[in-house]
Amino acid sequence: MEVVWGDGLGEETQGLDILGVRALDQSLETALANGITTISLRGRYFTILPWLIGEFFETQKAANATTFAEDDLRAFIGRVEYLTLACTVMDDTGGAAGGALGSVIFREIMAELSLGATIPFPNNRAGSILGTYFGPCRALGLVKSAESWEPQPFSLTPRGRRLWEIRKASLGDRRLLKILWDSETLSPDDVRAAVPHFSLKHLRRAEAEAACLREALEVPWVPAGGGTSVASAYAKFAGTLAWLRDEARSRTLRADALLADNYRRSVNGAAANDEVKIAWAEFEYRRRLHFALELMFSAVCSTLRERGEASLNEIVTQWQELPELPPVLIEFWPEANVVWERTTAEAVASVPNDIFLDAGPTETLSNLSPHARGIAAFGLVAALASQSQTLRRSGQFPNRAGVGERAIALVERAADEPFQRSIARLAKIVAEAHLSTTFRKMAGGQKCSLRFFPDGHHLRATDLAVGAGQSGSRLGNVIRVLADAGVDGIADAA
Amino acid sequence: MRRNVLNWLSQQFTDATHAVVLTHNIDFLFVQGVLVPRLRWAGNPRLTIFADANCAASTYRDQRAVLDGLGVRYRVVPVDLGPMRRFHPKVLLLSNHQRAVCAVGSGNLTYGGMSANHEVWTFGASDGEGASLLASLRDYIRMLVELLPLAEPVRNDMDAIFDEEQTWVTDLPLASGLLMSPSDRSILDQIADFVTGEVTSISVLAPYFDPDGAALAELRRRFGVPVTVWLQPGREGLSSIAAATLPEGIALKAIDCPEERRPSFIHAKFLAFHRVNDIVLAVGSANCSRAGLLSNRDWGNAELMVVDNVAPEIFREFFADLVQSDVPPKLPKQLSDEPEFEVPRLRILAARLEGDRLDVAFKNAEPLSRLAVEAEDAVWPASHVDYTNSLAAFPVSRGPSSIILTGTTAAGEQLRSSEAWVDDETSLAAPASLRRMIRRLQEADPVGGDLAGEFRAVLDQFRDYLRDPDASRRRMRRSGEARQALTPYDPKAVFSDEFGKAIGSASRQTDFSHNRKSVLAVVEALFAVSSAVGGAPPDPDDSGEDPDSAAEEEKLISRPKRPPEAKVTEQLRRALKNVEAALLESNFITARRPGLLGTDIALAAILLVKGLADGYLDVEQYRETTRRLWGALFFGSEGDGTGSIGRRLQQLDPNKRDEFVVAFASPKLSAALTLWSLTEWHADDQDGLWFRVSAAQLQHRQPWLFGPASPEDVTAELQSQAATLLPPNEQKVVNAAWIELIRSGEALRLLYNTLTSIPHLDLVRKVTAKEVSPRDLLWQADSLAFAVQAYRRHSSVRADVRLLGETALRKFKGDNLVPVQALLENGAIDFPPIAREELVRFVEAVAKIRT
Repeated sequence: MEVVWGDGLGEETQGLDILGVRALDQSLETALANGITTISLRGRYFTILPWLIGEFFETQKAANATTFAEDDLRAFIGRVEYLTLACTVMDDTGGAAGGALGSVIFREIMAELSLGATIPFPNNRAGSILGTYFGPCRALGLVKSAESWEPQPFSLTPRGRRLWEIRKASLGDRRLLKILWDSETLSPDDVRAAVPHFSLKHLRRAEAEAACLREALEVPWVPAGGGTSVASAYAKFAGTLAWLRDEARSRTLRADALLADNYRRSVNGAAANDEVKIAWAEFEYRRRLHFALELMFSAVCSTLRERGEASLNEIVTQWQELPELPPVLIEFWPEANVVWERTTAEAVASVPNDIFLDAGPTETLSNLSPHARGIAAFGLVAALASQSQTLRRSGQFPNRAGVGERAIALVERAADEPFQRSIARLAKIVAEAHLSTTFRKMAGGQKCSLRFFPDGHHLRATDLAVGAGQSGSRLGNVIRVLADAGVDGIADAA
Repeated sequence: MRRNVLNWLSQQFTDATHAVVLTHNIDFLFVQGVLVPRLRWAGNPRLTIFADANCAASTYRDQRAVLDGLGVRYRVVPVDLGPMRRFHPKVLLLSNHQRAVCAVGSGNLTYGGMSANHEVWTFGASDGEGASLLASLRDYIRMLVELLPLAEPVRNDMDAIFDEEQTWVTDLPLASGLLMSPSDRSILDQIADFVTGEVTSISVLAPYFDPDGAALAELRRRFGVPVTVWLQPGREGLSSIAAATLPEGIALKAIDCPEERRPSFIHAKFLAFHRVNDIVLAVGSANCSRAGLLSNRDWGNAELMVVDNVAPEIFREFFADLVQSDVPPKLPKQLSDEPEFEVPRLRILAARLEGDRLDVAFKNAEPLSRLAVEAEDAVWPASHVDYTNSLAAFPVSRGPSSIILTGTTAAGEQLRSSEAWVDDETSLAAPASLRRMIRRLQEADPVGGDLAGEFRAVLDQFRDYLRDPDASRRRMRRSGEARQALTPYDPKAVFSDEFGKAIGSASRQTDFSHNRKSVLAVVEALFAVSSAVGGAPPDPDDSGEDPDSAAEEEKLISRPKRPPEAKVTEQLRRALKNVEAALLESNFITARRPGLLGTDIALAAILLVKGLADGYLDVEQYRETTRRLWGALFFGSEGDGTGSIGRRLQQLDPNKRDEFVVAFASPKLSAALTLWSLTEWHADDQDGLWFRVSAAQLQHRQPWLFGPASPEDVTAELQSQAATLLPPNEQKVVNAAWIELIRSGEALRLLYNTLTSIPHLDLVRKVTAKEVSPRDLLWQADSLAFAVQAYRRHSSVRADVRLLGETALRKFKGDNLVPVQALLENGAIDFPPIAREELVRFVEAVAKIRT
């Protein structure tokens, strides 16, 4: 007889999208940002990557290489990334240094470089420019994946080739390239010489290079097989750009403030015919709904972790038995204190329509006690339902049949049902979303991010904690990239 | 030693055909999210889960809004043992034709049972240790099936697993080592049989006990030795009040998992009987309770425990995984009551859909009348109710995924059941080989992948499907319930201009990688299964996480290397040959159920057409395969419709032939065959002409093959398949090909009918032509023929002719043979112009072949 103890299914991770809602937010925003992702922060990488690809394969060709040298490419990527970081650190001409890849890992050695030390080139350290910026560069028509079975896995498009040629000409003699390819060390003088070509702060001053990127950002390219998807992506991005330019005339561009103002104006009917502004408003609506659901989820998880195991009804009953709500919540929703005695319809009606209409106090709400968080989450969903009603009914905020829609339907159909039952149902919606999302991800080979699991009549807590937070927007990255490239009307307002 | 039971089991196979799970609790989200995807990689076996009826109903009630695949991809069989009884075993079994493995233990089919809890498991493999467990499980599962209502499909599933034809079943040892209930003897009695000799002490680990500790007391009483009970702090499962009533000799001690923060729940159950030299260890599902250990056939739980002798050091090592303490745990004064299930007055125990019939097994507290099922916005009244066995049948106009049963009590009160899922029997019966093929189609690599390789893999899966004994057992629809008789085209309308004109058009989708969903849709419709039988593939782009730059880079750089072109071609050629060989295997055509056979041939057609359209097959390869298969299946060596299908039909009793035809033929098959034949139909060479002539004769002899339904139905199917499989320019000609095919056969039929209705001598007199060339089609009695060489139509001439469909030469008097063309030209027989054109085309084709 072989007798063993059971073991876990696999590793655990915190996960970013534990309710399966972020994927929707992200897809909406992706459509408006033409390939710029949540992790592609700086414009210069959009020009460095095509140059890197062109340079590498050109060098391979010159050496009559017959096979694709994967390891050499990885090493070259690592060296370019390292030099870019060093140049950004050593560039004292002003501008933002954020978003440089490798800045955390190489913080100490870069500090030494700043103090005048010659530093070693790291051996065989792969970088992440390729994985981070290839997709965004592809969206701008600078690079392309290889056709099936071509020996070279990716290559430059005509637009990308032009960029490579501009940079190649600008780099001039091969001294810098020799350092990049062969040197074992990097001196401060080497880096200073490379700053104009590699510093993330310096793109606008590399005029031809920046102009080429500006064109790539603003002028659609034509895909080989035709189709309208590229033109459509550029049209949306042009709408985003027009909106940003419009805003930049009167203010500094800050993503969260822009999104909040646009949301407020849109739900008040001020953006009725502007598809792109409505689309950004929908993104913000979904992002807030996402936050509300995570707030509810974190409230459930916190109470569950205290208890170890409980049913959702027991959790809600515990909330009901807890003392008064904190003043910070009452300030937003004065009648929150008496919701337990109300029907759901009465509770929903008591939520002020303009609650959280401006940028929400997400941190304050996230730090509330679980029972207050649960009520705040319900109030936030009710407010979002009310604020978005016109746009949803007109179809401008489409029904995407997601978890958010289930939550909104719950508060909108509220009638004489006791509030306690409805809040438990909202908790159930997020619990189901969490379980199905996490299991689906585990099926796809991702790590387990379960906060609890059903066991008979109860949910049983795992050891992973959860905190509610508003998911980030890539609008900030869009602004940063446009500013780096020196796009008219944006650069000075970023 | 620790092992994840799911990971281990799913790593045992890449081609599992069946999976069975026995569980008390079930988490459907876990099943669809974790178990089903893991089984996809183990071969996508058919999955049957036996779960406690109350637990399954309760969880389904909570989760139904977010479920998919239940009743389609996998079957859950609720086991209802009656009031206050639980179905409580925990088993997983995976098998294919050669091998089976099982795990018997304490974990339910939930995330807790399969991952988070501290559970105990034992294992058995047909080709290794514990094979006798599999033999015992077979007996237990068979006993279980007999307790079920509407058991036939489940019985079929289980019979397929334990069929004596499976190599591993034949070699099984005698059943032993598995203690089971319900049984005439309690689990404890069965353990006692095993525990012979002197027992020095007993260790008990369990999370749940009786409120009064009765089973513990019985253990102490029966064996009379010290009993140590290990309890997890905070989850003792035994109140201090109950502990106070326990007899002397029972020591309570604390035990816990090693994790300091939030230790796992110890849900494992075992009884260890320490003897001088070894330990008898019983592990499994039974808690230390009356219902678990003391029950018999009439009351208590269903349980499974594995019992065996183990060496003390093995037990010590096993037990050392937990942190033991001599300090007694602090017991709660009272245990919180486990909430009882709400048992509604009307419950659905099983709902099985097959074709347009829904069978429901139900449980009701009082007699009911006016039974009906509700599904979304439809209500269907019962057509037949068996009140004795609480079974009802409902004719349904579409397949619901869930239903509510309603009925009226004698007092006029209307009762409604909770919502219950419906088992789509056709999808559930899909064998693993079909599921794997559908999965292959689902996962055909997107742009940049090895598309030819994917196509080859699909062909290989198709070959496996054709050779799969499970597949050949499959019924396409309820036996004894013949499909409606065929309602083909009206022969009178065939030669009108309007015949077969396409109605509407479907959108174009071609590439294998881009339109796999559409190809899948054709395959699903063909097999009448949901694509969910393949299991939904995970969507890697839908994670909602930030991009992982390292993973992105890896995808970009490390692409699969393409095999050399010649190798790809050779692999495809071999794969195609294998499919051909499987289809032409001597007893395949003669033994295959006709419905399956029609589907097999249609799928072969679809895959070949797809392979040609997408460029994986070259035209010559395609045409050669086509001619070989059509020749063998349909035409016969002489092109006269005496292929293996025709021969099988001839060998059947005449009264069985219609049944065969009804099951075999369908618009889907006609459409697929038409698409398949396009290359030959439009080839202007000898092979193409032979094909055309043979097809006309086939259509004349077996008109149901291409005309099994109204022209509208067939052309609609034709257009649908063409839109999925063919490029736009070829889509335009498919209807024309089908119409020509029908007309060529009907033109022959019209000719035969017309000529046989006129006395032969009259026909002879109506023709005045004196010379006959080898290109003239001749009529002799009831046959058509061609002259071997030119001759004079004179009574003195003995002309050598060859009858259509025959190889041997015959001699006839020259003036007795009637040239058909002459009859047409002089108006002796009256043919519609279109029929005449078809006939001329046919004659020219035969003549060209002959020359």
